[in-house]
Amino acid sequence: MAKRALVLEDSRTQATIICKMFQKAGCDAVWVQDPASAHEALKAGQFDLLVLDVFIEGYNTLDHLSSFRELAGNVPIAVMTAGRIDDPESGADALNKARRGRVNFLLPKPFYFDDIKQICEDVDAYWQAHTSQAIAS
Amino acid sequence: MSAVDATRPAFAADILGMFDPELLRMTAVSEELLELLDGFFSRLDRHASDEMVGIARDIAQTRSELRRLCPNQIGDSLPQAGAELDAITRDTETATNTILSAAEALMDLDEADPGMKDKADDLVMRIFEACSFQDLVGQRVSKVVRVLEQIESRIARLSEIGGGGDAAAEVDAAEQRRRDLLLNGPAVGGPETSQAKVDAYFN
Repeated sequence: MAKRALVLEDSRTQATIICKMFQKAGCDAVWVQDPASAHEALKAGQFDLLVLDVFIEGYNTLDHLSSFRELAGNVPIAVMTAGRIDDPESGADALNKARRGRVNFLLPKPFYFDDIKQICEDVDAYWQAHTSQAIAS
Repeated sequence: MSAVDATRPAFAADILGMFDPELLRMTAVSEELLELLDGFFSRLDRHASDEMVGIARDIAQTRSELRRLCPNQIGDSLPQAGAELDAITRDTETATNTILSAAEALMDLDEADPGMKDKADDLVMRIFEACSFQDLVGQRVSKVVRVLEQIESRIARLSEIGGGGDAAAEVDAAEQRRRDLLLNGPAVGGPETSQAKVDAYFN
Protein backbone atom coordinates (compact mmCIF):
# COMPACT_ATOMS: atom_id res chain seq x y z
CA MET A 1 0.00 0.00 0.00
CA ALA A 2 1.37 3.41 -1.03
CA LYS A 3 2.44 5.82 1.67
CA ARG A 4 0.55 9.11 2.01
CA ALA A 5 2.27 12.47 2.26
CA LEU A 6 0.61 15.73 3.27
CA VAL A 7 2.31 18.61 1.44
CA LEU A 8 1.93 22.19 2.73
CA GLU A 9 3.00 24.56 -0.05
CA ASP A 10 1.50 27.97 -0.91
CA SER A 11 2.67 27.98 -4.54
CA ARG A 12 0.43 25.97 -6.85
CA THR A 13 3.29 25.50 -9.34
CA GLN A 14 5.67 24.21 -6.67
CA ALA A 15 2.97 21.99 -5.19
CA THR A 16 2.37 20.41 -8.61
CA ILE A 17 6.07 19.72 -9.05
CA ILE A 18 6.55 18.31 -5.54
CA CYS A 19 3.41 16.14 -5.65
CA LYS A 20 4.40 14.72 -9.05
CA MET A 21 7.83 13.84 -7.67
CA PHE A 22 6.31 12.09 -4.64
CA GLN A 23 3.86 10.20 -6.85
CA LYS A 24 6.70 9.10 -9.11
CA ALA A 25 8.57 7.91 -6.00
CA GLY A 26 5.55 5.78 -5.07
CA CYS A 27 3.98 8.03 -2.45
CA ASP A 28 0.48 9.54 -2.71
CA ALA A 29 0.64 13.28 -2.12
CA VAL A 30 -2.17 15.42 -0.73
CA TRP A 31 -1.66 19.14 -1.23
CA VAL A 32 -2.83 21.90 1.13
CA GLN A 33 -2.17 25.57 0.50
CA ASP A 34 -2.20 27.11 4.00
CA PRO A 35 -1.32 26.12 7.58
CA ALA A 36 -4.97 26.05 8.74
CA SER A 37 -5.84 23.51 6.02
CA ALA A 38 -2.80 21.46 7.01
CA HIS A 39 -3.97 21.39 10.62
CA GLU A 40 -7.46 20.27 9.52
CA ALA A 41 -6.04 17.57 7.24
CA LEU A 42 -3.80 16.25 10.02
CA LYS A 43 -6.76 16.06 12.39
CA ALA A 44 -8.98 14.40 9.78
CA GLY A 45 -6.68 11.93 8.05
CA GLN A 46 -3.82 9.52 8.52
CA PHE A 47 -0.54 10.41 6.86
CA ASP A 48 2.87 8.76 6.70
CA LEU A 49 4.82 11.95 6.04
CA LEU A 50 4.29 15.67 6.54
CA VAL A 51 6.11 17.96 4.07
CA LEU A 52 6.25 21.64 5.03
CA ASP A 53 7.31 24.68 3.06
CA VAL A 54 9.01 27.28 5.29
CA PHE A 55 7.81 30.63 4.00
CA ILE A 56 4.06 30.79 3.61
CA GLU A 57 2.77 34.36 3.11
CA GLY A 58 3.16 36.15 6.46
CA TYR A 59 4.02 32.89 8.21
CA ASN A 60 7.23 31.04 8.99
CA THR A 61 6.54 27.33 9.46
CA LEU A 62 9.74 26.94 11.48
CA ASP A 63 8.22 29.14 14.18
CA HIS A 64 5.17 26.86 14.44
CA LEU A 65 6.77 23.42 14.32
CA SER A 66 5.51 22.49 17.78
CA SER A 67 1.86 22.73 16.68
CA PHE A 68 2.55 20.57 13.61
CA ARG A 69 4.50 18.07 15.72
CA GLU A 70 1.66 17.88 18.21
CA LEU A 71 -0.91 17.14 15.50
CA ALA A 72 1.35 14.84 13.50
CA GLY A 73 2.26 12.66 16.47
CA ASN A 74 5.05 10.30 15.42
CA VAL A 75 4.62 11.02 11.68
CA PRO A 76 7.98 12.07 10.17
CA ILE A 77 8.23 15.73 9.15
CA ALA A 78 10.23 17.02 6.16
CA VAL A 79 10.93 20.75 5.79
CA MET A 80 11.68 22.40 2.45
CA THR A 81 14.12 25.24 3.07
CA ALA A 82 15.53 27.91 0.80
CA GLY A 83 18.93 29.53 1.40
CA ARG A 84 19.00 33.31 1.69
CA ILE A 85 22.13 34.96 0.28
CA ASP A 86 21.31 38.20 2.11
CA ASP A 87 21.35 36.39 5.44
CA PRO A 88 24.08 33.73 5.69
CA GLU A 89 23.00 32.85 9.24
CA SER A 90 19.46 31.96 8.14
CA GLY A 91 20.62 28.45 7.15
CA ALA A 92 22.00 27.77 10.62
CA ASP A 93 18.91 29.32 12.17
CA ALA A 94 16.64 27.04 10.08
CA LEU A 95 18.69 23.97 11.00
CA ASN A 96 18.50 24.73 14.71
CA LYS A 97 14.78 25.41 14.61
CA ALA A 98 14.23 22.19 12.65
CA ARG A 99 16.26 20.19 15.18
CA ARG A 100 14.38 21.72 18.09
CA GLY A 101 11.08 20.96 16.32
CA ARG A 102 12.13 17.31 15.88
CA VAL A 103 12.06 17.55 12.09
CA ASN A 104 13.16 14.28 10.48
CA PHE A 105 14.20 15.44 7.00
CA LEU A 106 15.48 18.65 5.44
CA LEU A 107 14.90 19.34 1.75
CA PRO A 108 17.00 22.38 0.76
CA LYS A 109 15.72 24.01 -2.43
CA PRO A 110 16.31 23.39 -5.25
CA PHE A 111 15.95 19.66 -4.73
CA TYR A 112 15.71 16.86 -7.27
CA PHE A 113 13.73 13.68 -7.77
CA ASP A 114 16.54 11.60 -6.25
CA ASP A 115 16.21 13.61 -3.01
CA ILE A 116 12.46 12.93 -2.85
CA LYS A 117 13.06 9.26 -3.68
CA GLN A 118 15.56 8.97 -0.84
CA ILE A 119 13.13 10.55 1.61
CA CYS A 120 10.41 8.12 0.54
CA GLU A 121 12.81 5.21 1.11
CA ASP A 122 13.75 6.61 4.53
CA VAL A 123 10.06 7.01 5.40
CA ASP A 124 9.45 3.36 4.44
CA ALA A 125 12.37 2.31 6.66
CA TYR A 126 11.09 4.49 9.48
CA TRP A 127 7.64 2.91 9.46
CA GLN A 128 9.06 -0.59 9.13
CA ALA A 129 11.22 -0.01 12.20
CA HIS A 130 8.26 1.56 13.98
CA THR A 131 6.03 -1.44 13.20
CA SER A 132 8.74 -3.89 14.29
CA GLN A 133 9.10 -2.06 17.60
CA ALA A 134 5.33 -2.10 18.11
CA ILE A 135 5.17 -5.83 17.43
CA ALA A 136 8.15 -6.51 19.72
CA SER A 137 6.60 -4.63 22.59
CA MET B 1 20.62 122.79 3.68
CA SER B 2 23.32 125.44 4.29
CA ALA B 3 26.74 125.60 2.74
CA VAL B 4 28.35 126.78 5.99
CA ASP B 5 27.54 125.22 9.37
CA ALA B 6 26.92 127.91 12.10
CA THR B 7 28.27 125.62 14.84
CA ARG B 8 31.65 125.48 13.21
CA PRO B 9 34.44 127.72 14.65
CA ALA B 10 35.11 131.07 13.00
CA PHE B 11 38.43 129.94 11.49
CA ALA B 12 36.56 127.10 9.83
CA ALA B 13 34.25 129.63 8.20
CA ASP B 14 37.30 131.49 7.01
CA ILE B 15 38.75 128.40 5.48
CA LEU B 16 35.43 127.37 3.92
CA GLY B 17 35.09 130.88 2.55
CA MET B 18 38.16 130.17 0.50
CA PHE B 19 36.26 127.51 -1.52
CA ASP B 20 33.79 128.00 -4.29
CA PRO B 21 30.25 128.07 -2.77
CA GLU B 22 29.04 125.75 -5.54
CA LEU B 23 31.70 123.25 -4.54
CA LEU B 24 30.64 123.46 -0.93
CA ARG B 25 27.01 122.97 -1.88
CA MET B 26 27.92 119.86 -3.90
CA THR B 27 29.94 118.58 -0.95
CA ALA B 28 26.90 118.98 1.32
CA VAL B 29 24.70 117.18 -1.21
CA SER B 30 27.26 114.37 -1.41
CA GLU B 31 27.25 114.03 2.37
CA GLU B 32 23.47 113.67 2.40
CA LEU B 33 23.63 111.15 -0.43
CA LEU B 34 26.23 109.16 1.47
CA GLU B 35 23.97 109.09 4.54
CA LEU B 36 21.08 107.85 2.41
CA LEU B 37 23.23 105.18 0.77
CA ASP B 38 24.61 104.12 4.15
CA GLY B 39 21.05 103.52 5.40
CA PHE B 40 20.18 101.65 2.19
CA PHE B 41 23.23 99.40 2.37
CA SER B 42 22.77 98.63 6.06
CA ARG B 43 19.15 97.53 5.32
CA LEU B 44 20.39 95.55 2.30
CA ASP B 45 23.06 93.79 4.39
CA ARG B 46 20.55 92.82 7.07
CA HIS B 47 18.16 91.42 4.44
CA ALA B 48 20.96 89.49 2.71
CA SER B 49 22.22 88.25 6.05
CA ASP B 50 18.75 86.96 6.97
CA GLU B 51 18.59 85.18 3.60
CA MET B 52 21.99 83.58 4.15
CA VAL B 53 20.98 82.40 7.63
CA GLY B 54 17.84 80.88 6.12
CA ILE B 55 19.80 79.09 3.40
CA ALA B 56 22.31 77.77 5.97
CA ARG B 57 19.42 76.49 8.10
CA ASP B 58 17.90 74.72 5.05
CA ILE B 59 21.25 73.15 4.16
CA ALA B 60 21.73 71.92 7.75
CA GLN B 61 18.22 70.44 7.75
CA THR B 62 18.80 68.74 4.38
CA ARG B 63 22.08 67.27 5.62
CA SER B 64 20.41 65.96 8.73
CA GLU B 65 17.58 64.44 6.65
CA LEU B 66 20.12 62.88 4.29
CA ARG B 67 21.89 61.27 7.24
CA ARG B 68 18.56 59.87 8.40
CA LEU B 69 17.92 58.40 4.92
CA CYS B 70 20.95 56.07 5.46
CA PRO B 71 22.28 56.16 1.88
CA ASN B 72 24.95 53.61 2.90
CA GLN B 73 22.26 51.01 3.42
CA ILE B 74 21.04 51.53 -0.14
CA GLY B 75 24.65 51.26 -1.27
CA ASP B 76 24.84 47.80 0.30
CA SER B 77 21.52 46.67 -1.14
CA LEU B 78 22.22 47.60 -4.76
CA PRO B 79 25.08 45.14 -5.43
CA GLN B 80 22.99 42.48 -3.69
CA ALA B 81 20.03 43.21 -5.97
CA GLY B 82 22.40 42.99 -8.94
CA ALA B 83 23.63 39.59 -7.74
CA GLU B 84 20.03 38.40 -7.40
CA LEU B 85 19.23 39.51 -10.96
CA ASP B 86 22.35 37.70 -12.24
CA ALA B 87 21.22 34.57 -10.40
CA ILE B 88 17.74 34.86 -11.93
CA THR B 89 19.24 35.05 -15.41
CA ARG B 90 21.48 32.04 -14.70
CA ASP B 91 18.70 29.93 -13.13
CA THR B 92 16.27 30.72 -15.94
CA GLU B 93 18.82 29.87 -18.59
CA THR B 94 19.77 26.59 -16.91
CA ALA B 95 16.14 25.57 -16.49
CA THR B 96 15.29 26.47 -20.09
CA ASN B 97 18.21 24.42 -21.40
CA THR B 98 17.23 21.43 -19.25
CA ILE B 99 13.60 21.61 -20.38
CA LEU B 100 14.55 21.95 -24.06
CA SER B 101 17.02 19.04 -23.86
CA ALA B 102 14.43 16.82 -22.16
CA ALA B 103 11.77 17.80 -24.70
CA GLU B 104 14.14 16.99 -27.56
CA ALA B 105 14.99 13.64 -25.97
CA LEU B 106 11.25 12.92 -25.59
CA MET B 107 10.71 13.56 -29.28
CA ASP B 108 13.58 11.24 -30.15
CA LEU B 109 12.20 8.28 -28.15
CA ASP B 110 11.67 5.12 -30.16
CA GLU B 111 8.08 3.86 -30.04
CA ALA B 112 9.29 0.32 -30.57
CA ASP B 113 11.50 0.50 -27.46
CA PRO B 114 9.86 -1.55 -24.62
CA GLY B 115 11.48 0.76 -22.05
CA MET B 116 10.03 3.88 -23.68
CA LYS B 117 7.52 4.54 -20.88
CA ASP B 118 10.20 4.57 -18.18
CA LYS B 119 12.48 6.74 -20.31
CA ALA B 120 9.63 9.16 -20.97
CA ASP B 121 8.82 9.28 -17.24
CA ASP B 122 12.44 10.09 -16.40
CA LEU B 123 12.55 12.87 -18.96
CA VAL B 124 9.28 14.35 -17.73
CA MET B 125 10.67 14.24 -14.19
CA ARG B 126 13.70 16.20 -15.40
CA ILE B 127 11.29 18.81 -16.73
CA PHE B 128 9.50 18.94 -13.36
CA GLU B 129 12.82 19.33 -11.56
CA ALA B 130 13.86 22.16 -13.88
CA CYS B 131 10.54 23.95 -13.31
CA SER B 132 11.26 24.14 -9.57
CA PHE B 133 13.58 27.10 -10.31
CA GLN B 134 10.39 29.18 -10.36
CA ASP B 135 10.15 29.19 -6.56
CA LEU B 136 13.67 30.51 -6.01
CA VAL B 137 13.29 33.05 -8.81
CA GLY B 138 10.14 34.30 -7.08
CA GLN B 139 12.06 34.81 -3.84
CA ARG B 140 14.93 36.55 -5.62
CA VAL B 141 12.56 38.87 -7.48
CA SER B 142 10.87 39.75 -4.16
CA LYS B 143 14.25 40.83 -2.75
CA VAL B 144 14.97 43.02 -5.78
CA VAL B 145 11.50 44.56 -5.55
CA ARG B 146 12.12 45.32 -1.85
CA VAL B 147 15.38 47.14 -2.71
CA LEU B 148 13.62 49.14 -5.45
CA GLU B 149 10.81 50.09 -3.06
CA GLN B 150 13.40 51.18 -0.48
CA ILE B 151 15.12 53.38 -3.06
CA GLU B 152 11.79 54.75 -4.30
CA SER B 153 10.66 55.78 -0.82
CA ARG B 154 13.99 57.47 -0.06
CA ILE B 155 14.02 59.34 -3.34
CA ALA B 156 10.47 60.48 -2.61
CA ARG B 157 11.59 61.77 0.79
CA LEU B 158 14.56 63.53 -0.79
CA SER B 159 12.19 65.15 -3.26
CA GLU B 160 9.99 66.30 -0.36
CA ILE B 161 12.99 67.78 1.44
CA GLY B 162 14.01 69.60 -1.75
CA GLY B 163 10.47 70.96 -1.98
CA GLY B 164 10.21 69.92 -5.60
CA GLY B 165 7.41 68.05 -7.24
CA ASP B 166 7.82 65.70 -10.15
CA ALA B 167 9.30 67.70 -12.98
CA ALA B 168 8.70 66.41 -16.47
CA ALA B 169 11.62 64.17 -17.36
CA GLU B 170 13.67 65.34 -20.27
CA VAL B 171 13.94 62.81 -23.07
CA ASP B 172 17.26 62.77 -24.87
CA ALA B 173 17.62 61.92 -28.54
CA ALA B 174 18.64 58.28 -27.91
CA GLU B 175 15.68 57.66 -25.58
CA GLN B 176 13.31 59.32 -28.04
CA ARG B 177 14.60 57.06 -30.81
CA ARG B 178 14.15 53.98 -28.61
CA ARG B 179 10.59 55.04 -27.91
CA ASP B 180 9.92 55.75 -31.57
CA LEU B 181 11.25 52.34 -32.53
CA LEU B 182 9.39 50.64 -29.64
CA LEU B 183 12.62 49.05 -28.43
CA ASN B 184 11.83 49.65 -24.78
CA GLY B 185 11.11 46.01 -24.07
CA PRO B 186 7.81 44.24 -23.48
CA ALA B 187 5.15 46.25 -21.72
CA VAL B 188 3.90 45.14 -18.32
CA GLY B 189 0.83 42.97 -18.81
CA GLY B 190 1.25 42.47 -22.52
CA PRO B 191 3.11 43.40 -25.71
CA GLU B 192 3.66 47.05 -26.59
CA THR B 193 1.81 46.57 -29.89
CA SER B 194 -1.20 44.30 -30.07
CA GLN B 195 -1.18 41.37 -32.47
CA ALA B 196 -4.25 42.86 -34.19
CA LYS B 197 -2.31 46.04 -34.94
CA VAL B 198 0.63 44.04 -36.24
CA ASP B 199 -1.69 42.04 -38.48
CA ALA B 200 -3.27 45.26 -39.71
CA TYR B 201 0.14 46.53 -40.88
CA PHE B 202 0.47 43.51 -43.16
CA ASN B 203 -3.07 43.47 -44.53
